[in-house]
Amino acid sequence: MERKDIDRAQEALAALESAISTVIVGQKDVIEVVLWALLSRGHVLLEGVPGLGKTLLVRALSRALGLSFSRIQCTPDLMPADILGTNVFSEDGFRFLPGPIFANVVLADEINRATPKTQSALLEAMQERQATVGNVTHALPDPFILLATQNPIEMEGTYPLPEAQVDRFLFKAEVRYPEEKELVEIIRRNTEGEGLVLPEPVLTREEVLLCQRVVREFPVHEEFLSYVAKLVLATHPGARSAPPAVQKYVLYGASPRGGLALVLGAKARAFLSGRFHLELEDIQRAFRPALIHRLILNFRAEAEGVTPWQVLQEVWEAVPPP
Amino acid sequence: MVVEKAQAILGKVKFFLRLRRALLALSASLFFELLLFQILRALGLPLFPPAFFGAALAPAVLAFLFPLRFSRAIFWASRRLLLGSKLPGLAAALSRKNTTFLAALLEDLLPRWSRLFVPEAFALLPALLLCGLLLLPLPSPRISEPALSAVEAVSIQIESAPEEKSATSSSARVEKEIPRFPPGTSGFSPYPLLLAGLFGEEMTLEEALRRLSEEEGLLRRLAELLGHASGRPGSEEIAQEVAEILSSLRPDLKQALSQALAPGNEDFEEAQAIVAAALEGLSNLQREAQGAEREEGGEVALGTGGQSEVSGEFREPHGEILLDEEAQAQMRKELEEAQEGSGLGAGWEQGEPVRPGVPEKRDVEAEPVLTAVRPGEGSWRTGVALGLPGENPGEEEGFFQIPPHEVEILLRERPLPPGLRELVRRYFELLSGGE
Repeated sequence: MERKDIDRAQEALAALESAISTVIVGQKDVIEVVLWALLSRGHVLLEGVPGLGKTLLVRALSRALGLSFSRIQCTPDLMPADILGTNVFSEDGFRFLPGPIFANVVLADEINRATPKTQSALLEAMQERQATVGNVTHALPDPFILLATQNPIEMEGTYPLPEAQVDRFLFKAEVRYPEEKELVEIIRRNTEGEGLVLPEPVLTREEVLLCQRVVREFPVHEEFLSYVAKLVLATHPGARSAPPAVQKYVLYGASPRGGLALVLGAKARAFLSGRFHLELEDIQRAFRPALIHRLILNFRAEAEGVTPWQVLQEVWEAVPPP
Repeated sequence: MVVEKAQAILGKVKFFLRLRRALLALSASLFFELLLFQILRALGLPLFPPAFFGAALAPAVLAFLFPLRFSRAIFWASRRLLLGSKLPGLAAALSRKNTTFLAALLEDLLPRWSRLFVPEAFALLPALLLCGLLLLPLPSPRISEPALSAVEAVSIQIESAPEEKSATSSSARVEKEIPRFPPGTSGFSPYPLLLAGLFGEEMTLEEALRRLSEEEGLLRRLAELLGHASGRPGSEEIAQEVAEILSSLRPDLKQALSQALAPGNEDFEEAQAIVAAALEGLSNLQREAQGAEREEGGEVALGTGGQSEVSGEFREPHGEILLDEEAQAQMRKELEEAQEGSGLGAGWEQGEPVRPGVPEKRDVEAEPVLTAVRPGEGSWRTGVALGLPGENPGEEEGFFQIPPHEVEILLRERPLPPGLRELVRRYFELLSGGE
C-alpha cells in the first residue's frame, strides 16, 4: 500500500459521502455509521419508523459504490431458502440458484418480521460471509454489507431479534425523524422535477476493498486499545469498574464484538476525517452505535424507563481516558 | 528514513519528559532547602553548610533516571504540544513499522518543544525568590532583656568607643547588665544625693565637698584631743572641746562617738578608731568626688565605672555580677586581705566564707560610715523597703527595713572591694528595685 493509494481512497470516500448526501437529506450520522460499517467490513442495523429513507439510503449507497444491490422484504412467511437460495433441479442436474443474500449490498427490510428460523439463516451469512445450502457452502461476494431495518413501534406480529443475532451487527444506527427544514427539502425533492435521482458510481469495487484494507491497517496505540477494553468491561454488572447504573440496570454487558466495533468504527471515522491517527473523539463518536444494541437491561430498567444510552453515558464518565 | 525520523522524535519526547520531571524535582527540593535555610537563619540556629544545597540535585537526578511510563506520558506530551493524539499514533505506526502511515504522520509534524516546559519553568520562581531573600540581611534576633534592665537605678554610664566595649564577650555582658542612667539624666551626679544622705540634708557637690573638708578638719582636731584625753583623763577643757566638735559632726558620727565617750564610761581607744575610720572614709569619698569632677577619661578598672561624657560624672563602681577570672581573683585577694587585716571591717567572722547577704541590723562599729544613696534613686525608691522576699514588713522581730542609703553605709563601712560592693548592691536592687 502506498501513500497515493491512501490519498485516492480518502478522496473517493469524500466523494461517496457527498454523493449519498445529494439523495438523503440530513441523516449525516446515519450515513457516517453506514460508511463506517462498509469500511469495517461490518453490518448495520437501522432502526427507525417507516418512511425515513432507510431503504433509499441503502439503494443510494449501493448505486454510488457501483456494487450489486438486493432487497429482502422480511415477512413472517419468509423462509431461509428465500434468502439463501435453493437448489433447483434442471436438465443438467441440481443447480444452485442463489438467493438475494448473494449481493454486495443487501437490505433486509423489517428483519424483525421474519421468523427466528429465517433470521438465523442470516447469521452464517453475516458472520462467515458464506451460505450453506444443503451440504454446499457458497461464498458471498466481497465486499458484502448487510443493512437490516427495524421498526421500533410495530411490535405486534414481530419476532425480536435474538441477542446472538443482534450482536452480529457491528453498529446500530438510529434513524431519527427529520427536522422541519429537512422535511421541507424532502418534500420538495420528491414532488418536483423528476424526483429522486440516484447517484452515479463514484467508487469501484477495488477502491472499496482498498479503503477497507487501509482501515484494517490503521495504527492504534496500545493505550487506546486498553481504554476500549475498559469501556467494554465497565458495561458488565460484575466488573469492579462498572458504575452504579450498570450494576443496577444491566443484565448482560457488551460482548468482545463491542470492543471490535468500537475500535473499527473509530478508525473508520478517523480515516474518513482525513487523519492518520486516532483521537479520543473518534472513540467517543463510535461509542453509541457500537454498544447501544449490546446491552441487555433487566426488568428494573424497563420498569423505571431507563434506556441503554443513559447507562452507556455513565459508563463513559466512569472510565478515565488515556 | 521515516522510521529513523519517527524514532528521533519519540526519543526527544522521552528525553524532554524526563528533563521536565527532573526540573520539577529540582525546583521542589531547592525550594524546601532554601526555606529551611531561611527559617534557621531567622531563628538564629546553626546553619547547614552551602555544600548541602548540592543535595538538591539528588532528587533531580533520580527523577530523570526513574523509569518513565511512556505509553501514558506520550498522550500528555502530545496534548501539551497541541498535537492531539498524533504522537501516540506515530508510536503505534512505528511499532507496526507501517511506513505509509509514518510518512503521512511525519509530514506536518513540527512540535514546539518549549511547550513542554513553559508552565513548569515558573516552578523555579519560588526557589529563586527564596534565593534572593538570602541576599537580604536578616534583623538580629531580639533577646528579651532580663528583668534587671527594667531597673532604672543606674550606677554608671558606659562610654568609650564601641570597638573597645565589644572587644570581649565579658565586656559585652558588662555593657548589657550594668544598669544605666535613665534617659535624660546623663549629667546626673550621684554625689549630691550620696552626700545629702551622709549629712542629712541636700546640697550641691561643691557644698558637699566643702562640708567634707570642714568635717575632716574637725575630725583631725578631735583625734588630737582624744589622744591628749587618753593621757589625761578627766580634763574638762578637752571634754568641752570634744563636745563642741561632736555637736558639729554629722548625726551618725555624732551618735557613735557619743556612745564611745559616754560620761563615766569613756572608751578612748574605740573613739579614736571611729575617728580614724571616719577620716579614711572621708578621704576616700573626697577623692572620688573630686575625681568625678576632674577626670573625664580613663579605663574601666575592675569595679569602676566607664568613661563619662559629662565632667563631674561620678564613675560609680559598678562591679558586674559576672566577673572575669582576673577580677574574681583580685576580688578574692582583697577580701582575704580585708578579712585578715581588719577585725571590724570585713563583716564576717574570721574564717567564715565570704558571702553576700542581707546584712544584720546592728550598730555601726568603728568603720567609717559613709552613707550613700544609689544614683538614680528618686521618688520611685521612696518607701521601698529592702529585705528578703516574703518577709512581713512591720514586725519588730525577724525583719528589718533598710533604706537604700543605709545599704550604702553598710557596704562602705566594710572595706569591701568595689566589685563585691557592687555585687551586694545589685543583689538588693534585684530584690526591691524596679519590680
